[in-house]
This record gives sequence, C-alpha cells and structure tokens, in this order.
Amino acid sequence: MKSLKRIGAVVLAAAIASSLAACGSSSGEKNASSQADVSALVNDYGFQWEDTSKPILNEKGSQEIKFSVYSSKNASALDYNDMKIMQDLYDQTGVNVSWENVSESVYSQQKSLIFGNSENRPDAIYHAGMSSGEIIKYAKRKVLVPISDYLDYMPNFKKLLEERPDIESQLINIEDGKIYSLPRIEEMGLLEFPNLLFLNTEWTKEVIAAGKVSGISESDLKDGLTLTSTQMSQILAYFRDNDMNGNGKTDDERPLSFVYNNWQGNQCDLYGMFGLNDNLEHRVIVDGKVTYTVTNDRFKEATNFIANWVDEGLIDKVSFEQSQDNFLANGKGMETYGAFYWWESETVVSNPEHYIVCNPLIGPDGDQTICVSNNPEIGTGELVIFSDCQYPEVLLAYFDRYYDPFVSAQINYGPIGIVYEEELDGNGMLVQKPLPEGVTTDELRLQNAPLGVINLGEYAWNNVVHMEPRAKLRLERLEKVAQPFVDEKVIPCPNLQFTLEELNTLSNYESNMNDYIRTNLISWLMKGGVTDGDWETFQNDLSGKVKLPEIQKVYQDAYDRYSGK
Amino acid sequence: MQAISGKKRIRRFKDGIPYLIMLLPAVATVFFFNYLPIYGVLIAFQDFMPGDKIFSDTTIWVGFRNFTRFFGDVQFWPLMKNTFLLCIFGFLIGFPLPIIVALSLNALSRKKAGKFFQTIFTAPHFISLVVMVGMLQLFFGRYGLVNNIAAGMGLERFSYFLENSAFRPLYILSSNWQDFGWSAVIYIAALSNVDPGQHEAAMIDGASRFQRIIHVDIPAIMPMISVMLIMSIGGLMGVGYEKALLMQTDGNLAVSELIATYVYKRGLTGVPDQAYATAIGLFNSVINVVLLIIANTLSKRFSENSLW
Repeated sequence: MKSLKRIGAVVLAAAIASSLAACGSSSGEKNASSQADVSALVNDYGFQWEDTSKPILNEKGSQEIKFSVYSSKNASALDYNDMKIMQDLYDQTGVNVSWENVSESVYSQQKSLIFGNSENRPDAIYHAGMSSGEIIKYAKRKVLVPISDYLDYMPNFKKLLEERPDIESQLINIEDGKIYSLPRIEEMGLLEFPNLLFLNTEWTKEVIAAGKVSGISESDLKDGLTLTSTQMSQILAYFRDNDMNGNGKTDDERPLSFVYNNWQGNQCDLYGMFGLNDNLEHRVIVDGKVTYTVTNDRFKEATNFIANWVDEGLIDKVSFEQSQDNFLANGKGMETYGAFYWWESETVVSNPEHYIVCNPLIGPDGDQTICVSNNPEIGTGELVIFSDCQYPEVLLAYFDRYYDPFVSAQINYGPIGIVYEEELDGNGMLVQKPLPEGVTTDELRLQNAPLGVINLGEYAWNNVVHMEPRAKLRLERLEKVAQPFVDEKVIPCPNLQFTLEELNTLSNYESNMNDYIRTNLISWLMKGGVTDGDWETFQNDLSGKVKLPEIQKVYQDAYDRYSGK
Repeated sequence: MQAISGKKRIRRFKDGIPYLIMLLPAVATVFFFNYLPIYGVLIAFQDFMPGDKIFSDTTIWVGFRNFTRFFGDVQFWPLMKNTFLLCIFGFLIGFPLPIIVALSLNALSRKKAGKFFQTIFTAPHFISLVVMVGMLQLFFGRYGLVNNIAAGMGLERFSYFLENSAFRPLYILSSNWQDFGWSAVIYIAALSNVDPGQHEAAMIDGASRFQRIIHVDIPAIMPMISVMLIMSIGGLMGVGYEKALLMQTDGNLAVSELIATYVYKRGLTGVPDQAYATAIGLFNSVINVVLLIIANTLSKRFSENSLW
C-alpha cells in the first residue's frame, strides 16, 4: 500500500510538472531587430524599400523569406494563396507570404486562441478586427510590433500619416505614443448615413386618389419628396387598412418597416423628427461635446411618438424581432412594403422602380434632421504584427505596398486581368472589364478581392479607380436627401484611443449601460411609450448606478485629445 | 469497520488488480480532463489576456478584484435572480414530470403501448438546441403558427420573443417537452425491478391501481428519486448558456440574461475579459457546490439516502 501511494505521488508530481512546464517554457528572448540585421537583410536578400516600383527582396525563386499570415475571409472568397492579386504581389515584391484562412464566423473565437498559443503564432493577422482596448493591452505585454518604429521602411504609409494627422491620431496608442496596427481607409462618404427612407409610389398614388392624404399631389412623387409626420401617418394608415397589393388580403401590407438596432436600416432616423441625431450608440459629437441623445427630454417625446405609431400598426411590429435576412427575404415576390428604411432600395425589393427615396420626415414641431451613425470609414486594427515575427521590416514594407492606390483598388475590388483591363484609360484610370457570363459584380468581387488594408480616398476616386455604379447612385441620393439635412454642429464620433484607466471604466460599465438602454427602449417602443415616472427613474439610473456621466467623461477626454484641445 | 490483518490486505489488493486496471482509463480521463485543467481558474485572480502565462514573473495578480467587481456590477442581482428563477421553475416542473410519466407508463396494462409511448416521448431529446429554438421561432414568431391561429380567431398577435413574460414559459416548457421522456427512462428502469409479488399481494388485499402506485411503486423508486433530487439541486444554478443565448432578443434581455450568457459574452465576445468571466463562472460553481452539500446533508438527515 505504501509503495502504491508512492507511485501515485510520483505520477501526480510528473503530471503536474509536465503541465507546468508546458505553460512555463516561454519562447526565450525576442531577437530585437537591430541595424546589423537590416544590413544582413540587404546583403543576403537584396532588401530594398525606397523604390516602391521595384521588388522588396530578390527576384522570386531565389533565396526567400517566408511569412505566414493568418486571416479570416468571407465565405465566397477564394483561398488567399490562390488569389491572383496575391500572386501578382508576390511576383512584384519577391516577398513570399503564405496565407492561412479561416471563415469570418470562426475568427472571433479563433482570435483568443491565436494570441493564447504563444509558442506558435503566425507573423501577422490580417482582417484582425482589433479594438483599441485589445491593442493597448497586448502592446503593454509586448506581444505586438510597434509599427511606428518601422515607418522608414513604409514610404506610402509614412506619407499617408504626414498628410492625414487625423488618421494618425486615431491610431496612436495613448499610453506610449506608438502605432500598433495598420488601418483600412475607404472614404466614400457613404457610411455616415445608413438609413434612407423609401416609399412605395404606386401605393401612395392610390392614397392620393382616395383623398386620404393632404397637401401632396401625384406630381410630387419623385426622389427627394418631403413629408410631414402627419402626412406620413395618413399614408401609412391607408396602407395598413387596405389591400394595396391586390392579393385579396388586407393584413399582409407592412406600412413602415426597418430592422431594429441593425447597423443599416434601423429606427434611429425616426428620432430626427424631434431634432435628435440619434444612432445605435445614442452618442454623437454636438459642438465639440460628446452627447448622449437618451439624456435629452425630447428623446422621451420622440419615443412616445414612435411608440404610438407602433401601437397603431403604422410600424410593423416584426421590425423589432426580424433579422436583416428576414427583412430582405420579405421584400421579394409579392409587394408588401409600403415604406422602409434601408441603405438602398435595390437590395430590398424586386421592383425598386416603384420606390422613391424621401427626405427626412418633418416632425410635429417642424424639426427635420438626418441622423449620423458612428460607422467609421477608417477601420483601425485591420492588421497587427506579432513580435515573434523575425523580419518585421520586410513584412511591413510588403504591406506598405497595399497602400499604393493601384494596389488598394485591386485589393478592394479585384485584380487587373479579372476585374480590370490590363490597359488604363486616357486619364490613367482603371477600366472595368466586361463581366463574364452568369456572374454578378458582387460575386466576382467577393471571390477575387481580399479587401482589408487599403487606402482609397479622394485622390484614388479622382485618379485611379471609378466608384462602383451602386456607390455613385447612393452618393447622388445622399447629396440630395441627406447632406442638406445634417445639423452643422453635429459630427459622428470618430475612432478614439483610451488610456488603460479609461478602458477599465469602459469595460466595467459600458456594456451594462448599453444593455440597460436597449432593454428599456424596446419595451417603451413596443408597449405604447414611456410614462413620466419611468422616464425619471431611467434618468436617475443613468446618472446613478449605470454611470453614464463617467462613460461620457471618458469619451469627452478622449475626443478632446483627438481634436487637439 | 473491522481491522484486517496485513496479510489479508495484500491478498485483497492482489485479487483486485484486474479491476483496478479496468478502472485506470476512467480515472486517468477524469484526472486529465476534469482535474488538471482546474489550475486555469487561477486566471480569475489575474489581469489576464490570452497568451499570458498563468505562472510567471510577468503574471499580473489582482487578488479578488474581479470578484468584487462582479458583486458591484449593476447586473449582479438581475443575473442572480434571472438564473435562479429560471432554474427553480424549471426544476419545479421538470423534476416531478418524469416521475409521473414513468409511473403512468408503468401502470399501463399493455406493455407494448408503454414501449410505444416511451419511444415517442424520448424522441424530442435528440433534437439539437439550435433546431429546437428554430422550431420555437417558427411556431411562436410574430407570423408563426400560433400567432396565425390566434389572428384567425380574431385575437391580437403576440410577440413571444420580445416579451419578458414569455421567455421563461417558452424556455422551461420547451426544455421539459424535450427532456421529460428521456429523464423518465431511469425511473422506468427502476420500476421494472419492483417485485411482482408485492403487486400481487397488494391486489389480493384489494388495493386499487392508484393505491398500488402510492404504496408499492413510489416506495420502490424512492432511493432513486432522492439521488436524482440531490443531483438536480446540485446543478440548479448550472444552466447552460446556449439555449438562452439563442432565444435572446433586446426585448427579453431583462429576463434572459443569465450568469452563463453573461460569462459567455464577457469572456468570448467583444473585447474578451476572460479573467472577469472566469471569476463569475467560479462564483457560480461555488454556489452549486454549496447547494449540493446542503441538499446532501438534508437528504442524509431526513432519509437514508445520500450521495456520500
């Protein structure tokens, strides 16, 4: 028995020791790249970074350095190793990048595992989707390469930062003043307004013919129509009560639809009727001040007004429970949507020609404004490099090429030879190839373009690549029905960088505050509105246990730093 | 226990060697998969990011900060309440139901019919959770079967997935519908061991079918019932996150946010805060252990049965 005990103890000790050894043996000292390493790279591999039209390393096929990069990809994209643009870049730069792809849906769970597997990390993560909070914490642990230390090897990115201090200040880590990630920049001016109001003209004509709406005639029914909330409610009530699509049923018409709290086509613009520039975070910058719309008393008024529409059936209640896919599927086939909020009408309904885009609604007190979302056009944290990477200067010089506008365009839309012609047009711009039989633009793009690290701004749109026709159409619409109605004091909240202490405040309180607002808001909207008593409790809770003022202060401080105050 | 001499002890051990060897794989599995990973709970006491070493000079120890943070969290009481209520209602319905079903199936005079119903009752257990919630959405969605019938009868449509009041009934009833047949199997097995002689004796004494259930069947499965009772009380707060998460909408978040879903959200989504999530999970497990010990002690005192 004694001997058995001893054996048991030895086995136990061995097991514990081995498990501890597994987590104890760290990967030795990081070989910090020094000047000597770079000259070795120059001698051995012909490393050069100054001339961006020449290869970075020796010609393909000679002595190579291989990098492994981990990336999520969308379901219809080819494996990045097989993408023509990636092979072209290999030919042009001589840098051999081997891609490891996972699907987008798995990535968010994989991310922690990649960071957790400290023995065997890839050199970099593309489409990393790193929040500033994650970056700051990993940077403190020296897991990530401070990219700003290598700016000399990145002529395109360096120039970009010099030209755009605003982008630089969205990237810089407050704690140590360094940059740890490469951004994605696609400035089209499309993301700020994710909701446009579309109205079914065929149905509205019937309303006008029936004399059930005052103040508009059939000739008014064109893009840029302005309706008051009263006119809108008259029209929606008629849609609700009549068999508009002529299938013999009066209950399958959906007067006004949206997808509650979706990133596009949500309920926020209804609050514009009350002069509130609401968005999903309920947070905007008004006159340089970080403002939460939910603390405004007009928010109560607006909520009650909208809840009344829901109660009367003018807003389809399914808007609060449906997913984006349900919403899109319901638009096809039999016409059921009277009016809806969405990015564009073409993807929603099968007959977009029946729908016009309207100006923001005028509220009962004469307010008319469009809401601005905080969807940033500059995505920070798109690419991070691990400090285990042996030659970060080479890999960064490679990814710097992505910021060349011609490469950016191909990364974003697809390569020359598949999506674009080999020859440029008279203005030196890329020319779209005719589509192959049986493929749509979107399919071809998603299949051949990795998206990600790009810089497409005004210069690119004017000199390198034409915007897609759909994007152009939307821009025209926005110019007509959105831009004129933006309150000039209001701007969206940009990407902000926080200190560790501020991040602690946010991670302690912010998600709870969002949940608190969300649960209250939906119950008010669904159940006929908010009573004065409930509103008072809500306000007291916000400033009390939910700690909204603390959160607001964090954003205000971060914004003041950003705007250089 | 009587004293055994040393010689006898060695004999006994030698006889047992084949059995011990047979036991070894099970012990090893439990050790490696259930006991060894326990050292991971140490991250509940750290400021942890994926990739950090659990034991090293660079580990940032924070003591009980994650726990005090949870106790001060505005979500603390709602989470406890939601988890507790969901589990207690689930338990009140889900515990007696399989016993009743087993007793009634056993009481059927035709054994073939009993088997037939048992199979039907067991089948839903094999529906996966995702499919189950999908079915719920099809049946109880705003334009689903139930609402269509209600609308056909001139009633208001009701958004079952957006109402706080509908979440617990939907969750509990659907779970029980799925599992009552499966849980009944263990009682049916116990009932089949009841000595037919006892039934015959009771019948001769003039006992009715119902009296036989009360005085013969139930006493026979009582040990099984108390063991199952202790085990389900031990798992009372241990509800999984998957189903609640699938059924969660903004509308029912106030009642559908459970400790388990909160742990999932904090630990794996957004900016992962695994240390905090681990602390909450650990706290939940401690509650479960305490409940289990209480249940076991009470059971020991009031009946002869206990787990240990």
